[in-house]
Amino acid sequence: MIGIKGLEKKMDGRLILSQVTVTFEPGRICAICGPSGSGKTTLLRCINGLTTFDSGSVVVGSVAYRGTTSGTDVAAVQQIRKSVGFVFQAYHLFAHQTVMENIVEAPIYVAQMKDSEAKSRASALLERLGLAQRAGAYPRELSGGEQQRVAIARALAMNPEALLFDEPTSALDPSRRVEIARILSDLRKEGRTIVVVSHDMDFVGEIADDIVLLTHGRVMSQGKAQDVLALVRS
Amino acid sequence: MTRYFSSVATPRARFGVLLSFVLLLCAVPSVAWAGDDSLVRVRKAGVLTWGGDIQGGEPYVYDDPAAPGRLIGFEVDLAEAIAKRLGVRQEFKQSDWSQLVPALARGSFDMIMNGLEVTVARQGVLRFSRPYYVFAERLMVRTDETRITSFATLGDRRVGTLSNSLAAEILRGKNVALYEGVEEPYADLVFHRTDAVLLDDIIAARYGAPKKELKVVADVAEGFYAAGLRKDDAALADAVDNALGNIASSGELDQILSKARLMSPRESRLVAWSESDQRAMLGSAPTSPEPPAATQLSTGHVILFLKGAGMTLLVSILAISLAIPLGMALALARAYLPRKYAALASLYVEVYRGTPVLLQLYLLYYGLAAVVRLDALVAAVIGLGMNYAAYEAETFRAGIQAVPEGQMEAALSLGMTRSLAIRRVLLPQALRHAIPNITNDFIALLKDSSLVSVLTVVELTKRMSITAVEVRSYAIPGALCALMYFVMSYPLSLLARRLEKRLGGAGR
Repeated sequence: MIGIKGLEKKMDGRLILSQVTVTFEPGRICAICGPSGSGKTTLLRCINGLTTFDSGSVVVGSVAYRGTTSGTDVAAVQQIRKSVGFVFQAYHLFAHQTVMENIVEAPIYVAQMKDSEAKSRASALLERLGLAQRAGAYPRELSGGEQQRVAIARALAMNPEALLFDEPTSALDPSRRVEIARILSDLRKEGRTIVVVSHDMDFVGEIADDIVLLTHGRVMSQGKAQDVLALVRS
Repeated sequence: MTRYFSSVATPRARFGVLLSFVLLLCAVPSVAWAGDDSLVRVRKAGVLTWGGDIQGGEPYVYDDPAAPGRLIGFEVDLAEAIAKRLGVRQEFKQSDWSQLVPALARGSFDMIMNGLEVTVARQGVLRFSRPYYVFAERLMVRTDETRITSFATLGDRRVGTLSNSLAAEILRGKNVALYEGVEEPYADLVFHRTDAVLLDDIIAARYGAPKKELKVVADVAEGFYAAGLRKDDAALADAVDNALGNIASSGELDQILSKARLMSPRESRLVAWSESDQRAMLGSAPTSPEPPAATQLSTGHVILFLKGAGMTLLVSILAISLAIPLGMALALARAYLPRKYAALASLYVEVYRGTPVLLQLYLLYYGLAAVVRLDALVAAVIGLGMNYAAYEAETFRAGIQAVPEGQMEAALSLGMTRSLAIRRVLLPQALRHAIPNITNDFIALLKDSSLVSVLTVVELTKRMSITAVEVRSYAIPGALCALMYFVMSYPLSLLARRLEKRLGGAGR
């Protein structure tokens, strides 16, 4: 479970996020929606400490992060990142490594897993995501959809309790959208907390259990997906 | 190193030579009967130009400390006296001392007069006037030296002297350190980098004797300073000889030498200098052992060139091996350390890039010698390595900037610490971006390594200039030297281009 409490973020004196308080439940998909510039992606990045904030807190499990770069917060962020995976909009696969190397990198160097174990788990993940044939390829040789699935496999390799997705459908054609929707619901079935930032309301309507609606950095509405969607339409 | 090529004609100078050649052709009919026109030419111009190197310092030709820009010295007085007798004025031309002979040959001035010792080897390329000074080759050691008691007991201990000097010829075949300046040989002797110095007594008295750590062992040979003229300029040479004879017999030479505190009992021989004295001097120029009058480039030379190239490679490879990790550390410090340390790294880069590497080498080797006595090769590697580290730091900085920011974020989001992310994700990619430029920097370093010859390291370019003096030509040794540099750098250049192509797509 991820809890955000009273989070405020300023950039160049301008308020980007104001008094954001939300909770993301395990086994559910929560979508963060809102117009461009409403602070969706910034909020997502605050959760795993890629962006600092000015007040409030992020709590993942028993670890609390207060938004600074102090020693205790650095340690907290380190803890949070091990249990919260992040799938970037542009994927950011490691360009100098093969698909397999991308996936085993964190298990070996962060979780200190044995090479052989990391590799067999990575193979299983690739199999599951339909990438078994691409283990030896370099990122530049993959299609956009394949790159996204490798990014998901890389995050899953650390067996995180939560996964954060930034605009997962922005670069996908319709058939790929169906595929990512299926992957997300599989992850939900495993009891993971899924947070998806998206401005694609059709996709959100398809997959989200809950919705947080942001406008100008404030939570306009939050709750069950159908309730929030009804509010938006009215 | 460019100063070795200072005698290579610029296009403009070449045009000037061509022009004077044409003028000469026009003048030929009127003077053809006189044998050669050298004296006529000097009289017509109204000026006798003579070459020397003011770096040789006191008492030869040097800047007047009381009036900067004005030259004084006993050779200036002598040139004045000679010119007066020829009915012209004198004009000094500055040239690197090691380049005086080729500069005379290509017509930069009429005569050399700068402590030029009479040697057998030099007689092949120029005509010596009668001598104007008799000197001794003086052997000096440290005061605590007990093993070296004479020239014969030198063994294979390291002896410093000036390159292209009579002393260098006498020392041929021994373990010699060659210098360009007169202060450095004695400084290195004090610092235990050499075990003895053999140089003209004039130099020894001024630069060696004042050092309380040094003492004189013995005067091992006698030698003569004489003016050097082109072989074809017989008429001018005769006139200079007559002038010098008159200067000696009139007592003016005594005055000039006394004024410079150079008078010794030896000099009395110069007054009644006869034809047979001159023949004896030229025949038995004090060169023990007799130097081989090597006029042909031999396989021996080529082997020495290969050795020089080996030294060039060794210095370059060791220096780049120091420059790469140091440059990487500097680039990382600038990118990731707190501002205080980043500023220090920036300062390092700016200082090393903003000052000449030659100066850095001098400071490291001679300037710091009182604190740390670095071996010449070690100083060369450290000096070049630290200088190139500044350039590698910039190369790595560009490499780091070429890695998209998302790569670091992706690594951090997987729970990596900053240092782990830098090591595993950022650096391998930055290195790929930097490799083609590092290869290019190495090619530049290969050529810059010729600068370390000022630290007595005999590498390829130094070997070339030594050989050029021996065979009296720059053409073939120069071409051979250039070829060797090319053979070393061209494969690297190809490699850099291939790497650029292959890695061009990586990192996207």
